[in-house]
Amino acid sequence: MTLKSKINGIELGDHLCLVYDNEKDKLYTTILFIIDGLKKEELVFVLNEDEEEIIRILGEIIDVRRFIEKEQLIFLSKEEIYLKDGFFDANKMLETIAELDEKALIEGYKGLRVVGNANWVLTHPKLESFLEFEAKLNKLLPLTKSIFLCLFDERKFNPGLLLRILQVHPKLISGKEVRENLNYLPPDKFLKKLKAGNATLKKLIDRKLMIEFEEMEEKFRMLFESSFEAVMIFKGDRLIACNPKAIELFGFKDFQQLLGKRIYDLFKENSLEYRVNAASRGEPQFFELGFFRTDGDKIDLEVSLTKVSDKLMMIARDITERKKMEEELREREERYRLLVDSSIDAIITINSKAEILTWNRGAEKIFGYRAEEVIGKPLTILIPERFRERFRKRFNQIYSVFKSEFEYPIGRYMETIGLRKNGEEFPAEMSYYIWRSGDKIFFTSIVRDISERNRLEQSLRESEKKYRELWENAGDVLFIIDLEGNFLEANRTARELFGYNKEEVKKLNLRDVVDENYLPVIYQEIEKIINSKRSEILNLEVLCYTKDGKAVWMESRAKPIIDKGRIIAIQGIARDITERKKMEEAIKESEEKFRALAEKSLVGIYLIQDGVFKYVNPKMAELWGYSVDELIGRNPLEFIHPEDKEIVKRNIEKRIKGEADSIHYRLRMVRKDGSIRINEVYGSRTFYSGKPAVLGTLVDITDEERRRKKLEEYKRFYQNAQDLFFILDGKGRFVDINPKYAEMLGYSKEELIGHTARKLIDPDELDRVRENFKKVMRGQSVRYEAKAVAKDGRVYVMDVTIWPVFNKGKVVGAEGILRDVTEYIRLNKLLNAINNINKIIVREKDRLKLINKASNELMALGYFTCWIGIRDGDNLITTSDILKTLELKDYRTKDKKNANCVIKAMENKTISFREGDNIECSRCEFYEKHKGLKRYAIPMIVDGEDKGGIVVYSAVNLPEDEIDLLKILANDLAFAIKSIEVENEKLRALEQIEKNIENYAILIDHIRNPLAIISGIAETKLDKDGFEEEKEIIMKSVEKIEDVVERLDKGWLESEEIRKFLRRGLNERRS
Amino acid sequence: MKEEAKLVGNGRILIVEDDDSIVEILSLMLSDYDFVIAKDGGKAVQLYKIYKPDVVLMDLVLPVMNGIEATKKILETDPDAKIIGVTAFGRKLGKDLLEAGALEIMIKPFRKKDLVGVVEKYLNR
Repeated sequence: MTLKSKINGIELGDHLCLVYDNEKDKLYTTILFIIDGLKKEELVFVLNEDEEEIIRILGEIIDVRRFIEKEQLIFLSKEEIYLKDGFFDANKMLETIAELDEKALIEGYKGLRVVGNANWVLTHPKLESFLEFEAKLNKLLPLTKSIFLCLFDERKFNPGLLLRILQVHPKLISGKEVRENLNYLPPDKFLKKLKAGNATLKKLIDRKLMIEFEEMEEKFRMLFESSFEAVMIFKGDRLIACNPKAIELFGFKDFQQLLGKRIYDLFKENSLEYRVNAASRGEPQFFELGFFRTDGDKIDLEVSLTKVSDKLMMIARDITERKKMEEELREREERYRLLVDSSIDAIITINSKAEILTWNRGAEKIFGYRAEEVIGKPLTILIPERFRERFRKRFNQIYSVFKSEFEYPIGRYMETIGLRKNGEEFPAEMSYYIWRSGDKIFFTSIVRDISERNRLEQSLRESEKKYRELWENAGDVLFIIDLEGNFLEANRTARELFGYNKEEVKKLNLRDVVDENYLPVIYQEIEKIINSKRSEILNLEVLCYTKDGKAVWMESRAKPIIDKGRIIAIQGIARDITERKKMEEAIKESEEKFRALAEKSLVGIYLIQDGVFKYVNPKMAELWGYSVDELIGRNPLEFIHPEDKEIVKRNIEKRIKGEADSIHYRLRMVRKDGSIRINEVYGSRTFYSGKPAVLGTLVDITDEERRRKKLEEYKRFYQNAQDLFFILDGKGRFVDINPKYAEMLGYSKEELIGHTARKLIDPDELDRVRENFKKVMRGQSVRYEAKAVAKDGRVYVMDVTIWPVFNKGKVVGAEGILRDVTEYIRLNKLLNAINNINKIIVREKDRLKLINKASNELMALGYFTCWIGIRDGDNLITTSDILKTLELKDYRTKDKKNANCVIKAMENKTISFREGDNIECSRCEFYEKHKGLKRYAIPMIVDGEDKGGIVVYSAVNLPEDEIDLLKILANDLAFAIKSIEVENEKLRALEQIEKNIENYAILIDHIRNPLAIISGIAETKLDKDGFEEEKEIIMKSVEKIEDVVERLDKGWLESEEIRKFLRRGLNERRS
Repeated sequence: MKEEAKLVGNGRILIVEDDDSIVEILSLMLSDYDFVIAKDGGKAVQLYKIYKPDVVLMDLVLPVMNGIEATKKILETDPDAKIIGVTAFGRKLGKDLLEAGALEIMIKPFRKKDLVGVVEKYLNR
């Protein structure tokens, strides 16, 4: 070998390959390749080759030490470069090469040259990865200043594998020449093929491994095969040999099944790759492994993994049994620990000296001591002082008995008292058992704090009792029925109301108490509950019957009782609403009555609640110019004149709040047509649907007001035009007088001048007039009212004003004004009387008393004589008081002689007036007494119905205004009389019902008594031989009648209830 | 006297009833017992004091003093008096009698066995 020799055609970026079949050829090419690189000032790496041999040969040719020292020539083992991380990674390798290339250039070398022995790949599990690397290298190298030479031993590779290797190298070294490789495939194409061909590859490797195996040494095999432990030899990651024990242990049939298996396939253990790598580096590994046998059993292995030359030896021992025991032990301990720790009970172990050995969390909680506070202390600290001695004795006794007699643990249970750290005592339940461990004796005691449990039990019992009591004594009817309607239970209220005892209740069904008309509804509701369509029955009003047949109305609600998600029964609550029902009916009736009256009333009637009209009658609507519907629901204030709104609002509030029961006042309202009307209202506080309301009557007094105004005008007229002037001298004699005045009184002026007023004055008032004149003479002005009498006897009421006339400080005479106020006063007094009568109308419930009082009021005026008659069927009746006034004995008009004027007035519905005698009155006793007077008969009419009349006998013609007032009064009275009559009608009806009911009861009694006699005789007198048949016939008939009477009796009971109810209503009305 | 009577009869009954026919029936039905008859409420009160019966059969409707009044009066003199109402009036008035202090009500017409049953029930034995 000389220096002249060299390989021709090597260029930077080359990826070369040498396939050799002897060591000499390989060394020769390698040496030439290295020297060529060193000469060309390239950095040279030698990978996975025999370093010593190469240095030795190089040393004969060049100063190799120098190159090594300056690190231009570097030797690396395959672990240092290919398997840097314990395994081969193609991409990482490529990166390393790129880095080395860069490093070489940075350090000033002309390039990088690598020669590597690649035979190692045969034993590498990832051959594909290596081939991938080689292929990709072909992409990398042309971009670098690196040259790569890969060495392959032809003898070790089979032809297929060799072909693959050739396919990834573009150039070959043949002898001293670099040649193009005709087998070369471009990298992408190759990589594609590689993936497809993996399967074939595996087979190629297997054959190679077989050869390795056969190379095994015989003596090793002997030891190997006879071992009691499983021994496996791996080359790379593949099994190449194992002993019979391994085959048996892993459950294989023969070695062929195991050969070539990858260690990673045999053992699924994450850390295995690390273990393998570490062992490969020469660090023996000891660890445990799990293995799944072919029969599915898992076995646990204790394993050692050691490097033996270039192979790995694994020795495995089956530790499955041991593992299982360890596992079980751990589980038991775990369970025990869990039990002890998580137990809310105290678990305490003590030794034979009663010293505490263990103390769990439960014990901490119950006794309040922490473990470190009590471990080693005597158990007696947990027992109240007074029990300690007893405990010690007992403990010693048990201990000695157990010690001598028992081999197995014994347990006991007892209730005792525990003592907490804070000194509190508590009831405890304690179980303990005594056990042996070796020759030692231990006590384990489980203590449970039952104070809470006791308390709970106690309170549960109490609340149960309370609930029962509540249930039993509730004021409402409470019951439980099953789904078929059978009663399971009913509380006392229920039993008392229905008249059943506890035992009877249990035999009852809904059918027995509920009116049959209501059963379908109830069953439907129950059905809905069962089908979960409804969660409860609400406010069902049901008619029921008590045991003795009394009808009761019940309002009931019900809910299901659910047990374990199933509806098992229905719980109900019910209330006796019989009274309420009756009240409702009574209210309805009274409401109807009210309406019937109100609808026909001649005065407006309204009901205000919650600020709106709840009711108005047609008259009211008419007065206000709206329809009833337009008013209902509206706020009354909307219709009130703006100036009166405030007062009306206050008045309504006063009554709603109860500050005033009734208020009487005037207001102005605006009708729909815009006209303003004056109303007089009389409103009272009342209750409607249980809430305060105002019920009032209203009349339109606009016309009346107008009259009043007219009257005022009269007054002014008199004042202005008819006020008469006069002058008196110091003696009261007329000096001058308005002639008109004199005329009015029937005198001439001359007849009066020089005379006092004496003959003009009502004799009764003379003194008063004189007194007043004296006052004037003393210098005072006076004003008074006095009656003046005209020459023809007519009386005038005069308003007199007189004042003194002075001369030189002395009163010498008087001047005065007279005003005729006769009509004004009359009208005013009549109005007052009518007002009084209206007040009487409101209170008086007896029509005769009413007309009596009314005529008294009118008579009291002194203007005229009058009487009032009421129609009573075909008769006209009046009161004896009135007759007395009229000095008449009999008021009956049956013979149609008397008071024909009233009959006529009623028929014509208008006033009948007569002056002087006429045929009509000639036969009338009333008229007899009032001959020569003017007679007015004013009919009293309401709703077209005549109710009688007012008859007035007057000396003078009544002014229009007075007649108008009397007409109004007549209608007011007619209305009042009608109201009273309606009431009376009802009273009579009620009284008749009462009477009937009484008779009914007596009738029942009258049947029962003789019935008792008949049956008694049959039972006593026919109670002998030969009469059995007769006796039976009688008894059966009696029973039949008895049945009927029984039913009548029940009916009577009901009537009795009604009677009571009516009686109450009547009393209210009467009072 | 009371002790002696007990030895003779089975028990002492005061029958308060104004209807002769009913009285006769009652006499027949109660022939096994000692009894006296009062025809009005006033006499019943007097006889009770003298006769000291074990049981009183009291009619409701009576002259002079009605059954309710008589019951109250008797109970005033002897709160332990055992009074059984016998009435033709229905349940309602019977109830009044019960409220006055009667222990039970027999509604007419009554059966012998029912009557005897009730009497037995209250006889002092």
